Amino acid sequence: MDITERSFANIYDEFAPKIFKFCYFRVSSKEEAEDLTSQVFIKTWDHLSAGGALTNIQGFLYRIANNLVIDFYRKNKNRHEVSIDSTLDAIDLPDATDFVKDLDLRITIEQVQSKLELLSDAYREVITLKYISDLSLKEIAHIMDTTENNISVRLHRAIEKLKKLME
Amino acid sequence: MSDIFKQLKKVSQVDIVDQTWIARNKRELLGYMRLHPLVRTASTPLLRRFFRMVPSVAFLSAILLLTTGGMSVAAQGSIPGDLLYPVKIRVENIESAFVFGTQNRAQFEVSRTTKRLEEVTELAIHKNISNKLIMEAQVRLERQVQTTSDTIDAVALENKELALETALQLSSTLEAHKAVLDQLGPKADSIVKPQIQDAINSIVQTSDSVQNAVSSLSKQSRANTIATKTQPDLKENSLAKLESAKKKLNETWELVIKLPEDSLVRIQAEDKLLSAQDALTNAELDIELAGYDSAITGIQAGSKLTAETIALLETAKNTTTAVQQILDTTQTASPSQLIDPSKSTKPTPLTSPMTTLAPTSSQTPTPQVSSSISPTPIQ
Repeated sequence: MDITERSFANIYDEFAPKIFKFCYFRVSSKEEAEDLTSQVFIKTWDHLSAGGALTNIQGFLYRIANNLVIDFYRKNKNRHEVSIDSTLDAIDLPDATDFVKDLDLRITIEQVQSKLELLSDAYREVITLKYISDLSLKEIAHIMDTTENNISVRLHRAIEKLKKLME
Repeated sequence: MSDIFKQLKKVSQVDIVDQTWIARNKRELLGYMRLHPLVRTASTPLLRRFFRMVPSVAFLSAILLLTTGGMSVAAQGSIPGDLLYPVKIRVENIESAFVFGTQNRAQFEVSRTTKRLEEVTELAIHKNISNKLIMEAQVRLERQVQTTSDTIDAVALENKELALETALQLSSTLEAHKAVLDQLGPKADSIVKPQIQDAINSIVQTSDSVQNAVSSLSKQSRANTIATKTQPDLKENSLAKLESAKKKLNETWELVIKLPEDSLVRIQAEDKLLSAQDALTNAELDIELAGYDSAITGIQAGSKLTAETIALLETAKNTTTAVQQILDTTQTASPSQLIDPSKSTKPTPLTSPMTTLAPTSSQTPTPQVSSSISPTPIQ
């Protein structure tokens, strides 16, 4: 794909909200998600400006986003573990979705977040890509650099886990 | 259980991102992209060799330029991508070394900004120009505007009035070039339209901070005058400012009436000058009524409009043939109201009594106003 400055700006318009949503449901923080989204596009541009090629822009963006989220968890491992267990989280949550104007949607987002947080990151990753980013198994496999079968199994287990947690 | 899937589906179907952040981040990303442009290599080794030679050719040209005056003149009209462009920049740098004094420096930087604006405008209408060149020209413009703003800040430490005057010059120049691009946009070939829009965006981006500086300097200058002068001094000071503004206005009228009566620039210039006259007439009344704050605001508004007119005239004068051709093409293709005085849209009616006496665009601008302001340039 022959990318120009102009077409990249259009790519940003199309994908930035999607990448933000993906990051947001992975890290549960507007600021962190914005920071990660910003990094995704900077890194993609760096790749292009260094002469790199892009064949699947969506896959590339999500793959970078996914790797950045993994790095984020790695760097904030301790902080994250503490925050999940922290009782203060229940108080902090409403503020985290303040930027969403629709109250009904805000409640839904908070409910989804609270359930996703019960899953391990590997399951949360696949559920987010499949059901929030609405990607196909093939696309998810490309992003996670694995086979469709592997994703299918992982997704099945994630759903089972989610069902169990909901009982 | 189905609840969670319903909720997931609902979330998947909507954008939840903060649109303000999206827009702000896009601006930052575009800035980053400009500083890290895409690398485009020449397609053949022969071409590559040629482009490698360009800097050396340019350097030799610079040497020649410094020894022959004619060369520097030739380089003045060059744009990024031309062989002589590095010479032009080198000459500017040499000139810069001989500029002394903060105010002179600020003036010099304003004129440099004008050159960068002309280059951005010129590149925007070129069909086969690389994105890299366009981006570089825009980054060069942004940096130049920043440099000019910095020198204006330095002037402000010594003299707020002069700083305001220079900032007005800068903002008016930016505005005038944006206006040219705005006119070019709908008329230009569709291939270059995105480039023109990019150039407009680049100017708008830099204009915001300059406009803020103008507004802030206007307030500071006004507050300083009001706070530091006694009542008689205030009147004298305001009258002196008014006289100076009127003088500039009349000088500008003289330039405007020399333009062809049916030219678009003249119509636009007359419109601005009539508004400036209005503002100054009201300011004169305010001084009589001892409303000095309002009077100074009026004088500043009048001066701003005059500065905008001067920038408009300068920009029109320096418009290159290529730009002019695009503007003319449309004028010929569509004899619009703008060029036909008999069909011209009258300037927005002004509220002052002076407006009722304003000339039509086909007349010589000789509105009858108070004797203290002479819209008819002194013959």
